[in-house]
Amino acid sequence: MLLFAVTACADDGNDPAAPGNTAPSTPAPTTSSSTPPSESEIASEAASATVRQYFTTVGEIRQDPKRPASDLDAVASSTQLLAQKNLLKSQRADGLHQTGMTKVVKLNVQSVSLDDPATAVIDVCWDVSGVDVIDRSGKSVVAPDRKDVGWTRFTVTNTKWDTAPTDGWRVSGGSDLEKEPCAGS
Amino acid sequence: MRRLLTVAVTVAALAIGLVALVSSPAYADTVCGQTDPDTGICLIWIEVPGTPGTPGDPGDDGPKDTGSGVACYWDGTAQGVSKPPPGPVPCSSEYGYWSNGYHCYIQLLDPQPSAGDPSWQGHEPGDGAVYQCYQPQTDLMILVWSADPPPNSGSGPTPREVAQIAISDMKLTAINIGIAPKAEDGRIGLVGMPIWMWVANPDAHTWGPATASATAGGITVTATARVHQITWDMGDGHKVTCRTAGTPYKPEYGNKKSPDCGYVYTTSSSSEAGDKFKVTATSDWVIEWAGAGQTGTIRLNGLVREAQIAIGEAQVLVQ
Repeated sequence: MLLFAVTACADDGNDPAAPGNTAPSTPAPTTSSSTPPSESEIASEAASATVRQYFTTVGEIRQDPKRPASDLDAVASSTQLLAQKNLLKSQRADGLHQTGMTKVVKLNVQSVSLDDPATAVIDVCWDVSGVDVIDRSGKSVVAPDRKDVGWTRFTVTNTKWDTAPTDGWRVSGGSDLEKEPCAGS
Repeated sequence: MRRLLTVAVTVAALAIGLVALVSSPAYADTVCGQTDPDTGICLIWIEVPGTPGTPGDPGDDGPKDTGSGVACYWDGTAQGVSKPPPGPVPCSSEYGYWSNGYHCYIQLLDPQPSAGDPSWQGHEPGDGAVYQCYQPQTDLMILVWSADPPPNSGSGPTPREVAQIAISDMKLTAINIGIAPKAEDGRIGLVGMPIWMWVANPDAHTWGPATASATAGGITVTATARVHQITWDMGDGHKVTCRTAGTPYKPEYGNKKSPDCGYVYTTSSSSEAGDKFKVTATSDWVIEWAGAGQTGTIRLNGLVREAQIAIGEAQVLVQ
């Protein structure tokens, strides 16, 4: 039988250390103005810009029935693209359109991986208090329990990192994030 | 080499309506995974992870495997046709078999046109054949000459099979086990004291997200893989299910329990082979794929890593 007269959890502290959460990859880099940006910084900046453009494009397309759904191809891919196109098709078939634009209040890059394909995980706090969706008669059809402010965790991928490190990013998926609402703008 | 010569395009005033599209596979027992901020309605349906697992309580099991999808699909976007939107179609109809490459139902024209008919495109009868290509989505009938019969997509790969090609490119592996006490000779944990488990150095291959695309049979599928949960078999007959990567132990945590993935042994490992418990970590991946106008989920379970740890019993010394 093994017998020991110690009380602490047996460990010398040399176990791999990492942030105590589920972040799957490298920590989000920060940009320094005095040194050239690293590849991770370039990826982080470009992926963040794509997420912002994603919100802009989605908002503009939903406000303008004449804008083609294919405009989404420049900002989204995979499941996210398919879901957005399906929703847009449904809205347009029902004669709905949007007024106002979603505000991106906060955008936090959680991780960046340059493995093929390059992938960034980005948390976004959005504010839709100025957004409405109306039918042909001008009546709002927004769900009554819609949150005005909330968080979404997006997966942003770039399958062309080698050739398009800034232009190849697309929002490919996402999930609701249960988190304290950020302060709306 | 596939050769396609479009000879005559006739907008056939057929009274047949659009072939009913097969619905995309639906998830069972789903909840909203992503809410559309603007409308407040659900944009993407999945199952959300539950709270960190506890022994004997595996909690929710994540999105269900949705099966194979449909090998035959319609996508008119390349020809500027947005209605109907891309989606699966029956692989055969009264107009023949479906070809993803041609976006229509293919049928050998019977009888074949006579020699010199423009539809032969200069070929002699017997050199290839003329086929009827009917697109019910647009009511478009096209006669095409082809050296070989156009491929029948119904006999080709399903989106799931193409997704599995993409998954193989991801090189998914078992996790690197992080555990305190360490799985090393000379390291001993104690009965009644907290054990911490975590995914050491998580990356796209061990924890996700990992994304890859593959193309086969005219179908392109993009798949994204994430670990849904890790099942830790502690070697003493108990299992712990964790839906986070866990928290690496640091000395300053002292005797605290892991906030999200831990265990407490109630027996020592002295009766085990080598005086150690064999601990295994099994990764349960959820792979979501999109392609051929469809989406689906593949579950992948069985990537296992093993470690052995010694657990002893504390002895109170009284002078």
